[in-house]
Amino acid sequence: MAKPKVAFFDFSCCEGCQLMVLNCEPELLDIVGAIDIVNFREAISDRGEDYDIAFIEGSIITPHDVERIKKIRAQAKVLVALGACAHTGGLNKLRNFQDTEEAKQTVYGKDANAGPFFEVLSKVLSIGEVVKVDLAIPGCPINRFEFISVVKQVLAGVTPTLPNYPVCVECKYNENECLMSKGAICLGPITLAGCDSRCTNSQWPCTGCRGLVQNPHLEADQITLIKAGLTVQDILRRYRLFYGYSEVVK
Amino acid sequence: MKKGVIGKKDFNSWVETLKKEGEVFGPKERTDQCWFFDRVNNPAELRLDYTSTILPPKKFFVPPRNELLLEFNLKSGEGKAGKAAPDRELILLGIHGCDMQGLLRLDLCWKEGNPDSTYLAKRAKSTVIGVSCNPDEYCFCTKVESNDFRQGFDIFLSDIGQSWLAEAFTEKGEKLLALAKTTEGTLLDDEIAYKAKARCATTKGPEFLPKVVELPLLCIDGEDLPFWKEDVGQRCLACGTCTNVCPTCYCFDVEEEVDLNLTTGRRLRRWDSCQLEGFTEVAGGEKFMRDQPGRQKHRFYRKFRWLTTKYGGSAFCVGCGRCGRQCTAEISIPETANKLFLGVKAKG
Repeated sequence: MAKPKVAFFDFSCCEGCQLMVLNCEPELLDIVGAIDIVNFREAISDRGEDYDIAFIEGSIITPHDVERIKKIRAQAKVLVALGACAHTGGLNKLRNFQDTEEAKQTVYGKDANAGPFFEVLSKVLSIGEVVKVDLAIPGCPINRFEFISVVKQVLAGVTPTLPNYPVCVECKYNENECLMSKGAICLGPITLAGCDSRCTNSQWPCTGCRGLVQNPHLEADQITLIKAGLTVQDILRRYRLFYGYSEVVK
Repeated sequence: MKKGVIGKKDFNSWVETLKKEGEVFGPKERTDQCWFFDRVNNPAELRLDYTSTILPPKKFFVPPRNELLLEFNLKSGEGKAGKAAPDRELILLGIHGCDMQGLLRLDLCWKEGNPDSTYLAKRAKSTVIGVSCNPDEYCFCTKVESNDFRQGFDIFLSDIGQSWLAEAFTEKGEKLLALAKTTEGTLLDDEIAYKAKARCATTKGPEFLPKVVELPLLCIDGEDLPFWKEDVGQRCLACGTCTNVCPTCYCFDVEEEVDLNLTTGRRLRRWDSCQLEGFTEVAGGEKFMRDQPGRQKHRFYRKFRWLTTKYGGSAFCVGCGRCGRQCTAEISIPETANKLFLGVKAKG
């Protein structure tokens, strides 16, 4: 069987998720042994337009992005959203809670409307809001072990499954003391696991980068957050950081 | 039973000798008041005055995840079971009565039906040295009748001030105790040791209204009480912490993974939890347990009704207090038991 041709593309993002792919140092040789990377701007100079699997990083924010992602979708047999910006819109969705013109003025000042490059959609979109996404690897950035696992499962012809339990499960596997019990505000109880509770392992509370777990117990979470001293506005602000895609923050 | 007094100044050198007999694990402190069981490299790290650890000792027999059950080769069709028994004896040093009871409950379950060879092989290759405890306001072992300082232990150590009173209950224990520098104890030592063991009973724990023998019937009578839905079920975050930290919860999931060569791979086991939505999900997306009140009730009934009546004996809650101590929503077994008790009583 010929090795599948794989391409990586980026939209609005920091490109950190692609760096995480390159961080798979012990496994990189096995990865390129199993797949043929034809387009990966961050790592190679080849620009192949013939690919089977496309990994997409970043959010869709301009009309030009919309055209470009549609072309990629037409070519790719499998399209994978790589990281929070692609998967849920991630941090970029924070702009959806502000006036677009004001946001542009804040960032670009007097040049805010200096040409076609500054044209933006009224709302920041995740990849899935524009084209069909076959698989998603959540996180800001992605967990590189989950990336490798997804690659293996795609190659083996198995539909990859994400965990459908909250970060607390992995946090307990790692035998961490609950940060909430020490007065921190942690979104672990409602955030999708799969990160190996990497932040709470280092005593840093979860900010929810992987998005909400399926059917999160929001009411219970809000009871505990209010007990911890947060107001409804505080909770909304924290939820909006990474749950901007969800109905719960509207 | 052999008995001896080990001076605290001689204790660490005994631990050093134990390290020659096997892999020694015991309680250590991670951050202030946060303890965990870990390999004892240096006996000075041991914190035998601990209250409770995040995870119970079950983690040594069924690790939280990545437990290798089978290695396979898809081309040759060959499979090789993961190694069951460790090479060296597993010596658990500093186990409390409640946690020992937890292991004994797990023994019952893992022996039944298709015995779990991996678990049982590890248990057979283990030695458990108990220690008198330092209870806090979450502990309630006496309320569920789990304060036993003999059953299951190879050796039990009671803190008698300047020394440990060591009692060996098994041949394994006697052999290890013979390696320690001991003196003969006095009657006064026995009395102080008794007091150390009784700390569980004399420290004020949470209020626990029902008697443990009443609970199976209270469960039947209290099945439709509104607090399951309006209180416990609503407050629960569904995070799975209570079952992960429970010494008697053993549910697991099995997953398979292949390597990038798509030929070799392995079957792995990890802890699962009845509190998680995916736990009862089957092909087609159907879920047997649809809501959190049902899941919370399931957890409680498993501890006090189903397994208690199935095995005809003790409750499957040993009163270690971990679930209550670590629950962000502050749900605890004593609180639930009291609500059940009062609710059934009010029904008349």
